[in-house]
Amino acid sequence: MKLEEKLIINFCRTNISNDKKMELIELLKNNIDWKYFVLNCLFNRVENIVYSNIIYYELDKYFNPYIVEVFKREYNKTANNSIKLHSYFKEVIYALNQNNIEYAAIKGYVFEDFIYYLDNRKIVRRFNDLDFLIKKEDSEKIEKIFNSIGFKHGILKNNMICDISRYELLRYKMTTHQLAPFFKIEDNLIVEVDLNFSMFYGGKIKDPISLGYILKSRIIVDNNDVSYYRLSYEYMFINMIINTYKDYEYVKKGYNKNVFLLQKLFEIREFIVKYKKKFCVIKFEDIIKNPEIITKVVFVIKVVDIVYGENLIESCIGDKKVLELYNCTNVTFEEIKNIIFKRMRKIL
Amino acid sequence: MINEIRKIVLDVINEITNISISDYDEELFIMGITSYMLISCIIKLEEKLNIEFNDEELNLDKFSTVEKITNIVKNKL
Repeated sequence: MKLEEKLIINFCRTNISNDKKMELIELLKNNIDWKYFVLNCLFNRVENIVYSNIIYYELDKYFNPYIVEVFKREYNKTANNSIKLHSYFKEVIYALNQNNIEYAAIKGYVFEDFIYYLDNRKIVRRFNDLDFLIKKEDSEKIEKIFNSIGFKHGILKNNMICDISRYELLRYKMTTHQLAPFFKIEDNLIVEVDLNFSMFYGGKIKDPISLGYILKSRIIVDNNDVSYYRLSYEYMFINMIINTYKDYEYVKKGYNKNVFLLQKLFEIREFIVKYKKKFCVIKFEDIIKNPEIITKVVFVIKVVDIVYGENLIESCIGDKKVLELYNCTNVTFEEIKNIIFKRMRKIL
Repeated sequence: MINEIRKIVLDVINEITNISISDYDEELFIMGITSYMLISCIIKLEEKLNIEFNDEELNLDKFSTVEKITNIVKNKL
């Protein structure tokens, strides 16, 4: 593993122990390829967690000042966008709650809320869209609600929102597991809202667990200025696993898609570390006994463990059969490393 | 009336896909019609008959044979 890669992985955690900090300082005393370091942080969308740690753990003196400045600029940009996205989120949540829509907020906003903190330190997460799980039968009602608060179906082309054709609308409705995306633009910030009918594969593939059943266990989150519904800890975790596994599959199939794999692995690791005691073990083990899900759960946790050099599987799943499956799962660090890290020619 | 609607459905499918259907209960996907071709057929039917299918109707299973399409169109007219 390259020095820069080891550095990035070690920075991708909210809690850096003293030993880990000393290890980071030793690594930083070497001749670092900063371009490789920064570009791969940006490529994996982990620049904000890295910058937050540089400042919080007072490691900036070991960095090239120009690099710290680049990270700071990105962090402030993300923080500004985050404030605007928060107000959009509030607006959408208010409309959904007012109309008694059964939904669960997922991904970006919820992850920032649940993962990107340590004690009182909040860290920003880069995301551009708001994602929700909704029931397909509510889609017409939801379309009307979104139109009433100024969101329109559209297609994003060259940073412009273009009208969506009837063909595209029907393609989304009939062949995918989501509605065509909604957009709204204010103060030069384009916000996209994605409404999904499935947290699994969707399309023609039947969900192993119905969304109606999953939404029954949703939990209300009372934040200072917004109360929203999210998935239970167990399903939130499964949702993260499935998304990561799907992205891994995409890349393995040769699709040219930037999947921000390290960001996803960081989030899964943080989720396990922070919330393993909140899982209802019986409920969780019941969910993952589903053959559609178990192989994906084991695979993704193995990938996290390989990248971080840890053994998280035992702390979140004690089941013997699961551990056997984990031990038989073949995946190498080299394979994952080639997805995470890119040798880019682009210069900052 | 049902025969007229069926003829319109067959004409639209033929125009969009270049495939002639003789068995009205045969699954269109088996005949080589993809879901994307079928969506084009649905839009063509909407334009031709001045109708609009709603979300409940917009399910590929409900458009999987000529007979099913004929019936769903008949209920719209």
